[in-house]
Amino acid sequence: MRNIPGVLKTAPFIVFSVTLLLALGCQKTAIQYGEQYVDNGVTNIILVDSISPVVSTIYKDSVITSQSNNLLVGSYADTYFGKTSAHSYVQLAPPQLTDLLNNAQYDSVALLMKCNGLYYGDTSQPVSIAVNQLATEIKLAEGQSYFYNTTVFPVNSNPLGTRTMLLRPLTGDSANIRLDDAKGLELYNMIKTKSAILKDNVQFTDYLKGLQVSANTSNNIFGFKDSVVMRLYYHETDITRNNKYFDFTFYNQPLQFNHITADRSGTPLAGLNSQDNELVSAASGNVGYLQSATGIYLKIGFPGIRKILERSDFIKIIKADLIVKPLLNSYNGFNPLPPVLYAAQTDGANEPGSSIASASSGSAVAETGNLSIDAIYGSGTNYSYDVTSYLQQEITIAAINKNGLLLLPGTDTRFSALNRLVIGDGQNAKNKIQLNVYYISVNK
Amino acid sequence: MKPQSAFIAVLLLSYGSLYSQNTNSPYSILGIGDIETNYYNRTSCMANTGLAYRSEKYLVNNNPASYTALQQQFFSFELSGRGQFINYTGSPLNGTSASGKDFAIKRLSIATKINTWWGSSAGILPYSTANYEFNAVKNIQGTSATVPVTYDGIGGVNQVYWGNAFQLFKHLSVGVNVSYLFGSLTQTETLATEGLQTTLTTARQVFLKNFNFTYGAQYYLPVSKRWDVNIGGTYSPGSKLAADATVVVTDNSTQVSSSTDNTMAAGFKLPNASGIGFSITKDKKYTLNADYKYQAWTATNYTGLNYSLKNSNRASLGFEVSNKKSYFNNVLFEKNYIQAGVYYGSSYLDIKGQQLQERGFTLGYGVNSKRNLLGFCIGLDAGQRGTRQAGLIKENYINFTFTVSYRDFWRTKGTKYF
Repeated sequence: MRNIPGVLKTAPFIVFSVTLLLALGCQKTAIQYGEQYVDNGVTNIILVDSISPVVSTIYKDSVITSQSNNLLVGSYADTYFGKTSAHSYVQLAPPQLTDLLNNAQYDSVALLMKCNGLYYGDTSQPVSIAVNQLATEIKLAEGQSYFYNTTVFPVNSNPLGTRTMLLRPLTGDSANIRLDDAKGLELYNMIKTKSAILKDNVQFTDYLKGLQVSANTSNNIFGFKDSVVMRLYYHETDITRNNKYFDFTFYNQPLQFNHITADRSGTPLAGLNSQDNELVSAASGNVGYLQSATGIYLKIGFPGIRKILERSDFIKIIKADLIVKPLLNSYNGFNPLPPVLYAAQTDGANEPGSSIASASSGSAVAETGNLSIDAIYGSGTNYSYDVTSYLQQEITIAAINKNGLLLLPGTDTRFSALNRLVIGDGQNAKNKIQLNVYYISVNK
Repeated sequence: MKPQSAFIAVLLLSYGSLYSQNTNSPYSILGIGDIETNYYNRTSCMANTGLAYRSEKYLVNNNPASYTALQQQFFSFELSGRGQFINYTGSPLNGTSASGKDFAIKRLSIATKINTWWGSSAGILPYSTANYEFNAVKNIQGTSATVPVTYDGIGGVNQVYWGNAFQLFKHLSVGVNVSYLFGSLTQTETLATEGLQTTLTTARQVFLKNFNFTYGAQYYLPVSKRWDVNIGGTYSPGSKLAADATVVVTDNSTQVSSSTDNTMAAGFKLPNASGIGFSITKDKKYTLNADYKYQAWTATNYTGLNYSLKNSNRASLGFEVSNKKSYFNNVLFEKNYIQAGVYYGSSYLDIKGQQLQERGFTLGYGVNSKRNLLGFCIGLDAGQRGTRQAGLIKENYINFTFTVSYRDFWRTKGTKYF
């Protein structure tokens, strides 16, 4: 070291060593040998599918149905829920007034409603729609912000118009109901004279009150867009005949609402009322029910989850899947399943809280049930939920509780979609609800 | 910092890379890993044959009695490393072959001759190493589904030794190596699934430690002016490595369980080991060495899962040609040397009735700097281990070894050289 030339003499060896080092680098190749020497029994992943969720049907005596963006009209009967009927209330605004020619002639007046795709029941059967003028103005009571499915307003007994027709809701069909010409002429004359009533919404509402749209038939229920129009047709003759119209458009959306009633007599749901508002599946033939617009919610609880803690090898839940299966033949093209069902956390009060979410590409996304339809056999049709986080949280709660998940459509259709769901509980022979819990097991 | 201090610092830092080894050694899952048969010293290129070998300049840790041969008033440092290429064949590889390579510093030693009758050396080198990796699948209990799992093993037992040799009579030295064996073997099971969004690792770590003694003796005699004959022997009584084992389970890097594994509570017994060697030198130039070593593993009664331990032995021959030059006062200075060796042995592993065999040959070349006190030695060790029979694996390997030796004057009262 003290003599530099001497060190230089050793350079070839250093170069050799460094070259060797660089050539070798570091890598480890997996060689498939040694499995028989491994004690692999310490850590395992174990599936437990013996914990039955508790299914119950929850009754809500009133459901907010105002501002739902759609008009539900019709009635139908089914074996699970009994007879469900709906009618709707709207207010209209006066048209923009223009000058009429002296030869202008009134032709007709009609209510135009466009299907929004919602329907329930046998749409191959005709629906008979009636339009009645309200006897009193639609008004919220003092301190009231919404109308409920139970709300009613009186109507004039003679309908302004009725029409029986076939509707194809999925093709954007529309209903066109001709109204009483006496009312039409009355309105026409007010237009012609430029009545002060037509110049002010308040005055006009005081005059017309509003309309109720209902159906006399019991085959089906249809949903219509709330952008309804009452169109008054007239014509003027210039050189040729010109057909023209005035539109009385949809007005005051906060006051639009649907009245929905359900006659559940003869069904297992008949006993539900505001006092007795929870029906466990064991008492209803191992079946749970959901029809949110009529106030029937489905609750799934996991009181048995803490049983898993009794296993000495239990460490942690790493995955839990909940699979909810509709009863065979409880759904079809006329009675579609709710396409989206969120799973809202709830407790003994049965009010929906925040929906469970799962991580999807880094961000938490509310679970929608991921409906999968087995169109051939039906037995594979299911909603599935990743309840991992939820059960990881629930398993830590030692106190006896009535926590659970409420399956509910999104708030956009929660109070308007009549789509029903009938599921089997853990004891249901054919369509058993499944809870698959995977846990980390460590044998110490 | 004085140059020699810097050198020592470099050596110590280099030893840190001892654990950077990455070659997969599939058999090292068994026992305490692959037991080192290499001393990583000057005898490495003579198939590690050197129970009777004595050297003035190099640390022959094969036999602790050899340190009395060291030149007086010097102290020595040695650093050795190994690069390895391995090719694996056998039925577990499904007709294909795999290869691996690595590089590691293997030994660091210092030695000095304290006085005319007492030589001493200390150092660190591996006693055993474990390094393996393989993939398997694990059943999700309660389902027919499986998840992929990887087993990764790493670690080994190191020995820090302090050896002392004493010259009892003119031709007889005895020595003892006190080794402290310590280390850990870690086997990590990694279970990673995308579907379950978990990476579950189970690390079983066995910590091993204890003292181990090796006694040695060498008898050396210039039988004529041209011929020198040495006989050497070593004996190491069995000892037991105390073992503490822990099992730590982590889920996505969160520890979920930590426990003590009692299966290793009995410890790991090391066997009685003995060896005898013979060395004959002609004209201080040509040396032929022969060794036979034996380790009584059977008596430790160790049986693992699907394998057992059996007595191991190793026979080797080494030959050296040393080119020396005579200086003015008739002192011989070794300019360089070439070496060769062959070896054959049975390892301590008996798997399915097959005791693993190892055989190979070595070649080496070394040079000593005339102007300073550095010495270099590089060597090659090519051989094979294992068998393709009984579903086992055969390893063909080529090892490159090197040793760097640095010597300097010991501070004596009489003379200050720097």
